[in-house]
Amino acid sequence: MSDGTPLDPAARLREIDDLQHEVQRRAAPRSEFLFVTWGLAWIVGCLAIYLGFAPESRPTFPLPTALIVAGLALVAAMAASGLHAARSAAGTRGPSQRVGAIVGFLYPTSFLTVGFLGARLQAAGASTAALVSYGLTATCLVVGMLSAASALVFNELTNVLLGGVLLLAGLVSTLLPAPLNLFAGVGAGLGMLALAIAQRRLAFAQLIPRNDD
Amino acid sequence: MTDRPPLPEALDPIIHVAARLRIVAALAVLPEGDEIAFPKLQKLLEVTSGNLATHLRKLEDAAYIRVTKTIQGRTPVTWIRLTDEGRTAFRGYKRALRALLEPSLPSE
Repeated sequence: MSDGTPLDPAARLREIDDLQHEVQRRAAPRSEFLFVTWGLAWIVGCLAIYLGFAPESRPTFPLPTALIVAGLALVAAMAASGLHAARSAAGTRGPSQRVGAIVGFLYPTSFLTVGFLGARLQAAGASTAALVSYGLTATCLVVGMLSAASALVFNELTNVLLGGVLLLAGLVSTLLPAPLNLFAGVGAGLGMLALAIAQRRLAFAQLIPRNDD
Repeated sequence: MTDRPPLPEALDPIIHVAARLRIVAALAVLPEGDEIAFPKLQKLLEVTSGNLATHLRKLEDAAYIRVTKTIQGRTPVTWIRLTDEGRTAFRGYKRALRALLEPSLPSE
């Protein structure tokens, strides 16, 4: 963006675009980082739980160990994405942060309900395999719906794709028997890794394109 | 003496200055109503604080940005946000550039 030289509108539009991509990359949470973090957590978590069941005659891990590994993957992803989001948000304030905080609050609230319902199902005699199926599908449903909802709020294409991946994984998980259905969760994780790769092309892509930009 | 080419009439002269265009373009990335702290904006644009302050004043005079000074703890913090007028002017500037590329299109 230089002064005093003949104006090249195409170059100037490109410079604006490049600058805005750079600012977006440095000032907003990096979706590709979040997709990789959570994609790996889903893959590690679902594979660990699967190996806690399979092979049926002699599972690779004791189930409690598998659940601890899955739990650690979840906590690591929560800590990494929470820290990343907090660092990105530093130095900015406004309505979008308040909306983000509300969306962020909906996750623990929803999972509290998922957890309590799981405990209720266990008390009613549901098997461990049934509880795993419930946990997987309920997680896909909650995260898928919240991702799609935040995509609508922030007008982002990638989040609606993430929501679609998770809702599809949730649907597939209901069609497979346990513990094979955990591969639907692995598929969701792979879908997130694919979104991380696609993010370079989709950065700035709006769910509903605005004609006035 | 430099002979600067005349500015096409549709291009907003306030935004057209490279440093100010960079500021407005950066602020336009933020969602509407969001503000950015002066040091963060300075870091993003890699400019000196004096240079940034000078151009911010020009943009504030044109009502394209709003500058709010607050105290956080004991530290003064300057927050900057693009106003509706600034956002409209930036969109108009981009439209004008596109119109220069395709003169048959209306530039508004």
